[in-house]
Amino acid sequence: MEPSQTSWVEERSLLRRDPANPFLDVQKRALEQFQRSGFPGARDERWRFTDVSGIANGNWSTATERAATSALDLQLPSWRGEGLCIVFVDGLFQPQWSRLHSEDGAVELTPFSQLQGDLIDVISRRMKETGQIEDQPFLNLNTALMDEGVVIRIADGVQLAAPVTMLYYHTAGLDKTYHPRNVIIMGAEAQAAVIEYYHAASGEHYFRNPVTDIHVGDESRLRHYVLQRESDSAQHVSFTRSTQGRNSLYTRFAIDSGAALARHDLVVELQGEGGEAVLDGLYMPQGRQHVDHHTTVRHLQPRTFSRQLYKGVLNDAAHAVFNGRIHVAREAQKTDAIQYNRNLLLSDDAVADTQPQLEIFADDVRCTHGGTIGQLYEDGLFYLRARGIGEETARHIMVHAFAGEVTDRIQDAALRDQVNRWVLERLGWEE
Amino acid sequence: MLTIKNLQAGIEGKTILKGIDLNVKPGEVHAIMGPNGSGKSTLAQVLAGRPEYEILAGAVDFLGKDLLEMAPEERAREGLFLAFQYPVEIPGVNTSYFLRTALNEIRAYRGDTKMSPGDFLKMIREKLKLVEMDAAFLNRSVNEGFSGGEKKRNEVLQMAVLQPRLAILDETDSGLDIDALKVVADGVNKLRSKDNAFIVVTHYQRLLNYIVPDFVHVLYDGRIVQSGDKSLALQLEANGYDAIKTAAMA
Repeated sequence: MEPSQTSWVEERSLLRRDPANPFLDVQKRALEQFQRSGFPGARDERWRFTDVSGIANGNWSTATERAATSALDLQLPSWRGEGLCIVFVDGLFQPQWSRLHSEDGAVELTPFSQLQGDLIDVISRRMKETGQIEDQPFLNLNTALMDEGVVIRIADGVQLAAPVTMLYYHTAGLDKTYHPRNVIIMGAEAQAAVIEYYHAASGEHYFRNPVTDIHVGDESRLRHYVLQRESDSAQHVSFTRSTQGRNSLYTRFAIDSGAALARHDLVVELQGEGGEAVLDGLYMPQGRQHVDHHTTVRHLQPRTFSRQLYKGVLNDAAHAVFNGRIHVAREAQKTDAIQYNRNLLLSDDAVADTQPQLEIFADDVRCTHGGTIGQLYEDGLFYLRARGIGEETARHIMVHAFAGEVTDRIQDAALRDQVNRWVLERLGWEE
Repeated sequence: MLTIKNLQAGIEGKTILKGIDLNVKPGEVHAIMGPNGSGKSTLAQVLAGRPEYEILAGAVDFLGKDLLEMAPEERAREGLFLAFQYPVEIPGVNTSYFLRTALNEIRAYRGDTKMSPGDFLKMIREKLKLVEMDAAFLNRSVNEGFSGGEKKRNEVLQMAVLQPRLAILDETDSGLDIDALKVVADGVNKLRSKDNAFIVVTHYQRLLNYIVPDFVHVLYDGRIVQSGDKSLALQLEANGYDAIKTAAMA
């Protein structure tokens, strides 16, 4: 580790040294931890396929100038409907486009910059706990440099019909870095959907490093969508933690279609008996894009269930990495864990690396895993062509069907339609 | 309609068809029989244009055009149809969407307008009756989880929708019980006309009780070694293929 590599981090962290900052202690500790580890390099096992030297050596701007958002004609996502939303443009909270409270007060969105009272203590405690997760340099980096974000609190028993949207939008400014922090705290017996959306108006180079920290309470159900549609030159490194109570259900869908480099670390902790996590991912890198998913599912209590299906459609010289770690604790008997990663290579130069990692300490468990890397299915292609369907169209149908296995499972219809349009658009087949 | 002259073809360097000659006219039904490994399915696949097969010699004329020069989709659009021995499962592709796309590509090729989803639905409901299939099939993925009989009915349904000039049935009877066999054969018989033709590839004579052929050809070791009328099929049924094999070796 070159000392110069962390200098921009230290410089930036000084800007956070406001004595009124309630998270100062947590941030100082995170910075110390980050300084000890530095940016991960090729010798770190969990980073050997993903080169972050471009981030470490980046000439990141420390400017925090206000963007000219008043003139901005922001297209709010079509799925928003009646749902709550919080909008950040170039890192700054935008009240004029946000809708923070439900009428009955059962759900509350609070921008980080406006946190007060007991919420600060709740968040501080959570940050300290999450900060103990080891080998997550970008989690520490986010904590040290945390700039904006949102706390979403969903009370016990709340049944939210419309999804809550967090929109992080980049419009202008070269070499910016963003370190947003999202915390979702769900009570018991609640139901909600939350959408994280990262997007850009221009193809500029910037670095976004979000952390999302989630607790799904006992008997609660959360549908979580992470839509990464950054600029094609951007670097996006995220960390997500989800802890789950008894008989809870966490359903996740993550799509990657932007960013030169995207890396996602996901840690799911099934802390209550009967908890269930369903994790789907779809990535569609092309050009020289690099996308890397590292998932860790920790089965900590009996009768917990997890199912992962990550699918990739790779074109040109794209590179995709999937590493799925399943940990089953000694007391987590009757665990059922399923993990699949399937990659479709549309070009000879595309590369996919897939690796399962099983750490099983209980004896009465079922773990199923599989990774495939393949070309388009020739028998299917011939069958379609033998019915008069042209080769190009037949390929489109086959690829769309491959992606459809995950997108069809999106329960929120308006979002599902939007994602399907993105998939077609991404593959260059706008109808 | 179809004229095959000295067709030789193979796969992975192995010659399977060693000189096939066959002439099919509109309105005719030709049965191609033969023991396992004689090249029956290869002939069907080669005519449909499966890319893995290599053409080594010969010519095939289909409705005045060079069939071997055409891509599989062009052959289908010109009116050739292969009912697969093993229909392919395509997860995630809805049967109705698949059929409508195929039909509209063929219509576009012939200069017809696209069929609207409404008109398509009306038409396909009629065709479903022909093979005694439930409309629920339309919303399932192509052949996914279908039983053997359902897959074969689906092939006949596609044939009914696409209305080919020449249909090749590749062992459509394999894996069918007698009831399913009758449904499939009835469907085919209803599609017969003086303008279209069928090549029925089969190992057993059984199917030919229901789809009665005008000509029967026996394929052995990549060549047609005997041709006749439907009585030849009955003869083979009674004597088996051994006599053919012995004669071929002599």
